[in-house]
Amino acid sequence: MLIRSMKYYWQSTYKIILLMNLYLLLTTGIGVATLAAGVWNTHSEGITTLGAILFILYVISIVFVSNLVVIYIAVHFYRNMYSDEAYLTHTLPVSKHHLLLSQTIIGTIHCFLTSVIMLACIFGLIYFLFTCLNSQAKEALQLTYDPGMAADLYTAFANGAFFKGLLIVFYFLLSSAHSILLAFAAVAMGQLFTRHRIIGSIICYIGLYTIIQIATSLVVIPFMGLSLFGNVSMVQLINCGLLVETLFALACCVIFYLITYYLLSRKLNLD
Amino acid sequence: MTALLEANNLTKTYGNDTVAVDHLTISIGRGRIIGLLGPNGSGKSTFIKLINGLLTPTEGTILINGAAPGVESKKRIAYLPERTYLQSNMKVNQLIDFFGDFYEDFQKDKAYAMLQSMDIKSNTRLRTLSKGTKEKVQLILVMSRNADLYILDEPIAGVDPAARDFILKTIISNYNENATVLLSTHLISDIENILDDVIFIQDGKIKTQTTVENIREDYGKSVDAYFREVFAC
Repeated sequence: MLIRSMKYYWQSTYKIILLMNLYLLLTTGIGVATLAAGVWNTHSEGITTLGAILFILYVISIVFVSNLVVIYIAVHFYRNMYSDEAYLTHTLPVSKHHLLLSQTIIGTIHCFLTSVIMLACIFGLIYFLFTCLNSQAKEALQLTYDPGMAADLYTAFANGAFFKGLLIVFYFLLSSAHSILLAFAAVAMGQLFTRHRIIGSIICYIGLYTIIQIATSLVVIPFMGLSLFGNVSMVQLINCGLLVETLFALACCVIFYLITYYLLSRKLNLD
Repeated sequence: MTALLEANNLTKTYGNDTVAVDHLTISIGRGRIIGLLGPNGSGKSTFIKLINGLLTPTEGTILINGAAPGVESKKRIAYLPERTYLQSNMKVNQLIDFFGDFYEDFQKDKAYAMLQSMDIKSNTRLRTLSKGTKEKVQLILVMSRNADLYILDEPIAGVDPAARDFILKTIISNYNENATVLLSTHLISDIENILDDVIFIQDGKIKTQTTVENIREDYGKSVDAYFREVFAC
C-alpha cells in the first residue's frame, strides 16, 4: 500500500512542482543567454547596475520558488489529511504510517530535486557570469579570493571524499525531509485549535521554526567558539560540523514525524 | 456470531460543553438496511465519523467485525460521506482505477456498468460534472464494492426527486445481501420503503432501535409519521 500511496501522491503533485522547476531553468536559461550574448559585458554603469539588480532579483525569486515547493507540499498535505479529501484518505485501507510516510518520501524527493536544480542554476549562472566578465571586473573579484581558505576546504573534502560526498547528499536529503516534516507537524498541530485551524498551523510553524533556530544556534555556538579560541583546524571543524548537523537534522526529522503520526492516529477530528 | 458493529458507551464531546454523541451503546447485525434517523444536529454524522475512524472518541469503544476502526475495518466498510471527497482534477476512469488499486473488493466491471446505465462518460473530469452527477459518481464508487457494511451519509440530500429514486434503486440493487446498509437521512418518506430497521437518535443518544414492521404494527403509523411524533418540537 505504501508504493500505491506514493504513486498517487506523486501523480497529484508532480505537475505543479515541475512547473516551478521549469521556472528555475527558464530564468537561468535567459540569464545565461544574455550573458553569452554579451548584453552585460559593457562599461556602462547603468547597464551594470541593472544587471546586478536583476541578478539579485533572480536569486530572490529562485529561493522563493524553492520555499514555494515546501508550501505547496504542506497545503497538499492539509487538503489530503484534513479537508474534504481527507474523508477518502482516512477511509482507505492504508495505515497512518504508510499515509504519512508516502507523503514524506514524495515531498522530500520534490524538495531535494528542487534544491539540487536551484543550486545547479545558481552555480551555473555564476560560472557563466565569471566567464563572461570583462577583465576589470575579474581583477576586482580576484581581490576577494583567499587561496589559504580554498586549500583548507579542498583538504577537508579530499580526505575521505567518497564518504563525505555521501554524507553531504544524505545531509541535503535530511534537510529536505526536515523542511517537509516541520511543515507537516505544524499543519497537524494546527488542527488541535478549535477554530481558525489554518492560522493555528501558521502559528505552530513559526513557533517550531523559532525553536529549531534556537536549537541550531546552541549546536553551532560551541563550534564557533572552537574555531575562534580553540586549537582546532578548519578541516576538523568542517568534518565534525557536518556530522553534527546531519545528526541534528535526523533527530528533528524523527521528532516531527512522531508528532505528526501521533496527532494523525490519536487526535484526528475531521470537521 | 459477533455483531457487525458494536458501540459501547461511545461518547464524543467538542470543547467542554458540546456533547455530540452521549454514552451511546448499540449493536448492529448483518443483512439489514437500517435508517439512522434524527433531526439536524442529533449526532448522526458524528456517530458515522466515529465508525469510520474520522473522529477520535472521547470515551467508549467501537468495534467493527470485532476490531477497532483501522486498516481491517476500512477494508470492510464502504463509506459515502455527505460531501464531495474526490479530487476534482481526476477523471472518472482514474477514480475507478484508484478505488480498484486500494480496495480489494472493488468491482471495476460493475462500476463501468453503472456509469453506462447513468449515462456518465468515464473520461470526464470530475470538476466538469454537475453536483448531482458528482454525487452519483461517488455513489457508484461506493456501491461497486463488495463490502460488509455500507455507510451512506445523506445520500439523497441535495438531488432532485427523480435522482433520489435512481440513487435508492442503485443502493438496493447493488449491495451485497449479507451486508448491512446504514443510511443516514432526514428525508424519511423517500427511504422508508427500503428500510428493515430504524435507529432514532437525538442529542447523541439512541431514542429507539426497532424494525419498521414493529413501528407499523405497534403504532399503526408510517416511519415518517412516527418520526414526526417522536421529534415534535
